[in-house]
Amino acid sequence: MSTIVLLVVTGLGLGALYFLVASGLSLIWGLMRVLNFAHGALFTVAAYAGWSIANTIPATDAARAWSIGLLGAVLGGAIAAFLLETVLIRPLYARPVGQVLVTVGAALAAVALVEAMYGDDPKQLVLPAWMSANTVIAGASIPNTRLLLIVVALAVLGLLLILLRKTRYGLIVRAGVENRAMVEALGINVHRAFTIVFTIGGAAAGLGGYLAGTYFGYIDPQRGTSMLIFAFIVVVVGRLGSMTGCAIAAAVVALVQQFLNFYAAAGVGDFSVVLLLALALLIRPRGAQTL
Amino acid sequence: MRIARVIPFLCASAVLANTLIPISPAPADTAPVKIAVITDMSGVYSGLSGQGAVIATKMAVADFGGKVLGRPIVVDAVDHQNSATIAEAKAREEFGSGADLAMDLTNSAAAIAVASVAKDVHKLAIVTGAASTALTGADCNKYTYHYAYDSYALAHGTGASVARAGFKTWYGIVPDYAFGKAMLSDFTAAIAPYGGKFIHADTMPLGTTDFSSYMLAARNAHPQVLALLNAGADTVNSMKAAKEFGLDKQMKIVVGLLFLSDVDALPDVFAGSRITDSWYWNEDKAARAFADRFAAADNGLRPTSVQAADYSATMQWLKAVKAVGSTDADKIVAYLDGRKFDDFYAHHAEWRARDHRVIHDMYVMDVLPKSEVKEPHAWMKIVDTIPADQAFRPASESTCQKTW
Amino acid sequence: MTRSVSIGLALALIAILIAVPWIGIPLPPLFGEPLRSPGSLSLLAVCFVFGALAVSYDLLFGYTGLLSFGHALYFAMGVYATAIALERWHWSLIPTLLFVVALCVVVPAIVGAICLRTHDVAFAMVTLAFAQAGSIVVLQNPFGLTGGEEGLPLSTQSLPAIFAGVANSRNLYWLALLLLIFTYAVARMLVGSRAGRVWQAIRENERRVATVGLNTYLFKLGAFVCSSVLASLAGIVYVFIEGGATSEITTANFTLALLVMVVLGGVGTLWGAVLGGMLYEYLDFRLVVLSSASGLQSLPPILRVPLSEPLFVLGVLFILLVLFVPGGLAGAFRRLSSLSTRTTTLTGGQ
Repeated sequence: MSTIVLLVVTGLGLGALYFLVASGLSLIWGLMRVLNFAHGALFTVAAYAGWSIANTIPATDAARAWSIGLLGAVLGGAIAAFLLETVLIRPLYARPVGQVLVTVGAALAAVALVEAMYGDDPKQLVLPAWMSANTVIAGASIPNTRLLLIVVALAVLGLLLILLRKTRYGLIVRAGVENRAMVEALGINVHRAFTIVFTIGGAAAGLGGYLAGTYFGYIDPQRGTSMLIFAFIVVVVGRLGSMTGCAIAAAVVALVQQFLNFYAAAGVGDFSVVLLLALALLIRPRGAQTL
Repeated sequence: MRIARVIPFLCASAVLANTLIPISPAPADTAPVKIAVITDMSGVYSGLSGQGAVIATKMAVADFGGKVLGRPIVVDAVDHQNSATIAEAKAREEFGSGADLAMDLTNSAAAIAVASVAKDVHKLAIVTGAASTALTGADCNKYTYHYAYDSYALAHGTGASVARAGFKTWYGIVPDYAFGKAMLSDFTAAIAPYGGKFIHADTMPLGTTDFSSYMLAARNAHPQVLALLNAGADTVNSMKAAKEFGLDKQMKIVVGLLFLSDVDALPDVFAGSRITDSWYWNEDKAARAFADRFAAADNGLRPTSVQAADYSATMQWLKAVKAVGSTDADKIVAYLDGRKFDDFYAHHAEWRARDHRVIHDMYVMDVLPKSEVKEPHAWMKIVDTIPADQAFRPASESTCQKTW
Repeated sequence: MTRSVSIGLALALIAILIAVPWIGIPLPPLFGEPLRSPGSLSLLAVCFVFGALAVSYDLLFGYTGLLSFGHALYFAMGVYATAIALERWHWSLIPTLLFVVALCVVVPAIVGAICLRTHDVAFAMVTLAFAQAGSIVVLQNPFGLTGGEEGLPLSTQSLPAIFAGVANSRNLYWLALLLLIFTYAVARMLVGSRAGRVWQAIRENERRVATVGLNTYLFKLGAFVCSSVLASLAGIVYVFIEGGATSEITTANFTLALLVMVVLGGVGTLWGAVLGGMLYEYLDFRLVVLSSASGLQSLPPILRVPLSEPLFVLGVLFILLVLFVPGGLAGAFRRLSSLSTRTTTLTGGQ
């Protein structure tokens, strides 16, 4: 029984991480139809921004250092995303393939820059003591970082849902996901909504980057790119632009991974997740429009 | 039309030129003796080898006197950017411009590629930074020596030492690539004579991000030893997961491949694990003397075993060049093969002729927790020494098809 | 530019390239060694191979508009099939070549048939998934065939005699040059043919082509298979130059590099792809060395550090090109020449 609890909670913790990275991607892809290959780079840049800021505070005050680092990461992600959108993506609205290409270039350049500035070695993240400890739930000893991630992801989900359902910009985003041409035809300034969505996506990626660093204990330049694959899988399996869909898909993907890896042979879970992706791509009920 | 008439003329001059013009100028007797240190200068292995490898090699050259056979010695630092393609091309370029020795070659794929070039051009390559036993096995050749460590030595050192201490049931986390599989089979063979066996081995798919489910399975299996036969980022992730789920309190944790530079980056993660390496900077007075001089040249960092191996190999090669009176690779191989030696890095060492595996003592070490570390970078404590004749794959078991 | 002038220039260029192994001019800092040294010849040969590979990808992406993220798979297939047949199965050269070409017609036909059921982004993702699967298979080293991440070097017996040994690096250079010329000629012929025109029409507006009554699926599949076969030929030559197979050509990074090459050089212009492929490989190889040349060392760290990372320079270059010069280097050249001759030309679309 404690094994199942452990698997479920660690699975949800992993799913929370996937959701944080995927939520921004889902919004951006769903609304702007931009396949943002630079999302992993946003993740990385923000994580390093957060780490650098956290490092300015002496390690003895770990709680303050970590929290300020978190703030730095979120802001870093938002600013980086804002710059990316206004400088690189906005000029290319008429050329969707160009938009994808420019995100590829930005991803390459940004990660290379981080590697050049900080080196390839992993950088340890200073954690407050309680985060390195475990909590016992129903006989299972669970690392607190997993619980932290679940709480944060739920909070972000709630925030995004409120944003989407209760604010004007949220309405524009939801309408735009359904039918962008109509929204534009109605004369609504979709472009400003795009920038805001991109910035929010970047902030979520930054949060994901810093919390991934918390989850693994360190940050490195390659983590963002490897997380991107899972983010894509979650976005494709969930429904584009829908936050609840994204959250459920993230939880499903992570839980499938955990349970199959444990009960079946090692690696079966990861393989089946890729299979899920392939199936989702080949059997889209709404056809090519969704993608 | 005019072009067509030119073509036969071009062809004729082509044939003539091909036979008359040599492809590269013959080296003059006053040309410098060149050592090309080909390694990863800026990527994941730069801490293990990188600039430190160049520094160590230059230290050896300086200690030797800077000249050999009346010719100055030059050290070229070459970044292969962890690409076997680039390593291969750079090696060709270096050898073509007069390099007599390729040194270090961290990264097994790059080492294997450069070994192939060395064989092609009949010049020496000494590998210190790669783990693959293929270098003295299927891909062995006359012009390549494998100097420092290899996966067999790592597995046998740690495996034998831990199994001998009574740890019989093992659980393996193995990455699904050549290195991982080689480590698993080497570990299995190493622990068998002492009654040890793997009750289970999980093969991780490439790019596994989360090890929690594997740690859970390991915990439920109740082994005495958890063997993390990973390399690189996987080792860090799996170690962290093992500690998060309290496995380090329940069982002994053994790591396949770990260097001083890894512990320098993330000391908390590796504390308590047992590993094998070819040298430790604080193992004795001679080692420490070298480490102090190295630290003065490299911002207080202590040398890794690979960097120390670079110094040692360079020094040994220069001595051979002096003794033989030439940089000709064939003569040096004839001189080195079967020769025994001893220096601050390699104890009871021999340039084994059978497969060009350089054998020497290996050391089993524990990574100390932060509280027991007495000075910066003093992460390790040596717990066992594996003598040279037992540390590496026996010559009789070598798969090298010796063609020389 | 009139046709005979451009043919004349092309032939002159080819003549110069053929003669390179006898030109002993040192060209620092472009090349570390004189042109005719094995090192420089080897670098040029690899650049030619990548130029040919970029041309094959341009057929698919530039002319037919199919954004595939899995093209490198067929290059890798050419590389590994050749290396395995020569080294593991000890076949001789001709059966190996026939086997590789046959394999690289059948496999892309099947894979393409599956992938082309999707469009646009989904197509990109599915092709990427297949490439990833191929990468995993190679790294797993099934039956000890591929050598996993350590690579598969060819022993001297397996390599054809004219290509073995450093004295023969000039033969490899000429082989690579021959590959480039052949690939370019075939691509040019295909593009000018009826199929080629349909491909370009599909790129512009697939639905319209379908309405005219043409089977766009089959034409796309044709483009897919043709470009894959050309890629595999480049792979065969690559094995001889490198003396073996290495696993880095199976990575997703390498596939993206192909994309960068083609966009760099100019999507939809074949010679632009050649330029992009050669420039990319050259920069990847030499940039680290160039950055340590005295000029860059004197720059303040804030400029020097990023500029010595090849991927940073390439990424920024890529972005600048996509933003300002959508036709790539070829497009920039066209624009410059059209400014002077005042003729308008159609640049490749995106």
